[in-house]
Amino acid sequence: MYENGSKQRLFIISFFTILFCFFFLAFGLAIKHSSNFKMKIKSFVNFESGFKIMVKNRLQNEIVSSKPVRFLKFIMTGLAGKSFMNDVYRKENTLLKIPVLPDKLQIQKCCEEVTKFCDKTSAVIYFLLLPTKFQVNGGLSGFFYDNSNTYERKLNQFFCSNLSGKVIKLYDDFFSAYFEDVDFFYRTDNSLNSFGNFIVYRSIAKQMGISPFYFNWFKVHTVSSEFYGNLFNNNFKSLIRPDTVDLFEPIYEELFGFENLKFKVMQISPNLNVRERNSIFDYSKISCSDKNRVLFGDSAPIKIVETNLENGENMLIFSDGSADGLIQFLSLHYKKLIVVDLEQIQLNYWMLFDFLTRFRLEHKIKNFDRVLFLYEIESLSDSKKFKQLSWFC
Amino acid sequence: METFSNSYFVFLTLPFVVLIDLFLKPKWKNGVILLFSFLFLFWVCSYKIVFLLLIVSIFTQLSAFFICKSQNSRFKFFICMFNIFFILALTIFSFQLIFSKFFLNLFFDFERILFVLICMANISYLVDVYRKHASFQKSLLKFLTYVFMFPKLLMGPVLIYYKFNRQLTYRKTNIEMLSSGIELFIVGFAKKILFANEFYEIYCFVINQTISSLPVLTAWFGIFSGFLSFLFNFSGYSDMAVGVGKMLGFQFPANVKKLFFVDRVSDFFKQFNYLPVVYFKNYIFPWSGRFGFYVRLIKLFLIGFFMALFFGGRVECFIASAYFVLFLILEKFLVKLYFFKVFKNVVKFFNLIILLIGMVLFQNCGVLNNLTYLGMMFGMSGFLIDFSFVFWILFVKFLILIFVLLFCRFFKRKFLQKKMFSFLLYFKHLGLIILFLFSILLNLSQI
Repeated sequence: MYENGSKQRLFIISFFTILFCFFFLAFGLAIKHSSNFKMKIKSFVNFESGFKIMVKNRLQNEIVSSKPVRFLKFIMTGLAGKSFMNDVYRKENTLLKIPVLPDKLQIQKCCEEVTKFCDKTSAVIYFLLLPTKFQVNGGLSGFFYDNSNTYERKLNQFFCSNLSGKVIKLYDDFFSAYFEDVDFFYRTDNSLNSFGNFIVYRSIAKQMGISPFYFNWFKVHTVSSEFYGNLFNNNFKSLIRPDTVDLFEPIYEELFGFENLKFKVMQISPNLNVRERNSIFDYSKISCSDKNRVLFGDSAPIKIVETNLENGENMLIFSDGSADGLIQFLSLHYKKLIVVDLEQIQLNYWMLFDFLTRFRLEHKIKNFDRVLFLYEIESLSDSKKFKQLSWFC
Repeated sequence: METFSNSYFVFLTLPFVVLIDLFLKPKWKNGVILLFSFLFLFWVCSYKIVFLLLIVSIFTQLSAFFICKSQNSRFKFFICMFNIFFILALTIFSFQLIFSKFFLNLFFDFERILFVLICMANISYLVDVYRKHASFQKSLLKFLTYVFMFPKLLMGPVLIYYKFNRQLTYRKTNIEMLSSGIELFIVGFAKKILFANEFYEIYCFVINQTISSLPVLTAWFGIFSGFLSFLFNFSGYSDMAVGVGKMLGFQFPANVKKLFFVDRVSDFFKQFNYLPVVYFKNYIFPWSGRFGFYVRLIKLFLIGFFMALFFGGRVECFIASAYFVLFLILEKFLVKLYFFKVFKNVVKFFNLIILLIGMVLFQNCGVLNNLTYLGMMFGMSGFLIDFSFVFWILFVKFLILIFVLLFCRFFKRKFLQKKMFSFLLYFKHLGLIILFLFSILLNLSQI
């Protein structure tokens, strides 16, 4: 019936034309959006993922957050007998926030850089990989299921087995808290809340050989009950119950037997402005949209916390901002804490060049008693930032 | 590694290799295919595995040479068996030691299947030379082309050497073959993108939930989506492989004949994953005739063992394989019953449930988790249905996909096969091009 050779030829030509069109589209996009040759190659290689992200954002912004879908969502949750969507958050998170995990090679590179640093110091080194929200709430692929093939778990083990320092394990403490139905994470955000940070602090303290303080020795103070994290689109606000930001204020009589512990917090910004305050908490952030910043102020390349603790030790912390909530607890045990965000240093390298040189002379690594690496597994995909570690040796 | 549906393969490798093959002299064609096959292999798996496979192939060729030259039948038998055991031992040990323990897909690992397929090709060649079904291949290039040919590397089809070796020397590419190859490739690509990936996403949603509190219907819904994803993945990859083969002038046999709703469980393996079963019957248990119960039992278990090895050699694969073998044995006794003959549709439905349970045992989540999932399917959680919004969204998506599937089946049966509607064939190519464009865009937007 359909034996016409010319139409078959046309079909073949159109097939190959489509293929070549897409090939040149990728090539054209790469040339258009990149400035130098290296970037052109890089964007051509990443064409597929870039295109996917673009399409996903479009879908997220225009379809999922459109009025009919929001209305449908409202009706469905209402029919299910739930006035708020909080009960389904755990399940939805698995779709809304898929973690971009590092591959083996990236972790290998991170390990190499960190090992170089470890070889040059005599301080006791600790590593802590914080589980992501996806890991904890992610059902079968999650933290609490003994699935030996879980990709994230394997990566975690791989990271831990390639380093010479002491690895802090959170599993037991998280496990017991999980079954008491305590939420470690903000519902609307990917970061740990104050309760989650307290659990992490207790694990760290126990494994560092410090006796941790009890929950009863703190007064939990809610500073804001209108915190919306970055996990959900603003358009969903009407359906979401906001989170609360809680601060753990120590009862000093219980802790130390004296009135107050004095703090001096210095925050060094990329343009070398130094902001000082006398409290760990930055109460000025309560009025901002990102109320979580109350815990330890804005992000900065270097933050220094000094206390009037006698016989206290010094600790250097390398972190990516996930340590912010922990400082309120750790600062109660140390005389000096320096929190370094390597990513910020990487970004503002030339601006901080002189400062870092001075910093290295003033704060020699040998003077620190302990060094803590505290990262989320997702942030290990950028191994370049660990190259900045050489500045602290 | 989603290799055949990967943009770099579709936009870069495929058009170049097909166009080069079209305009090249016949004597250079095998060389070019081999070159691209190695590029493909280095892209898909680690260099260690490629070199290991190359050494295995050269060892096989040497063994075949000795078998061909020797007059001593015992020596021939010894060489053949030694080589086969060497390959099998290497497969089992390399699964334990060399391969990464990461499984990005919850059903199969392409790297392992690729390894097994290449080993199977080697064994096929060696046994055919030993049995004198085929002569010794003097050209190493042709032999390596047969073993490493990239279209068949991902999911088969498994090629039996003596049926295929003529095509290594005599093959021709013409407009009809190229056109039908492209048609098959587009259909396979669409199966993979439109159905396999979409069903897999639904399945992943269910499997990522807390398994110990999975509602009954969600559990069934999840595993049915996973089952469909598995079928379409296999069928799609097979179609793409046959299509790419046709574009290069090869005639590969079809691997998947019918997808679901089979009369018997044994039919499922005969129709769905047809070629590996034929291969195992041909090489692992070549004897034909009427056998006693125990011999048939051994035959079934042997084929089950090798099928489990074919799918990656995980513990779950062996358990699922044992489960299916048990049902195949049961079926042999039950099939004579009155119930089987009269209530065919009921039997089909039960077969589907048996297959779904087998799928639960097969999934790559650990044996205990698989058993927990099975418990949830039969109401251990105490909940019937999930009321989350995303569940309903995915359920609607699932229904749409099923509707599209049924429509395609209906359209093919009622219209395309009738003379009255044969004018529709005029629009076939236009429809395929639109389908291809749609699939590419969907592929680019799937995360």
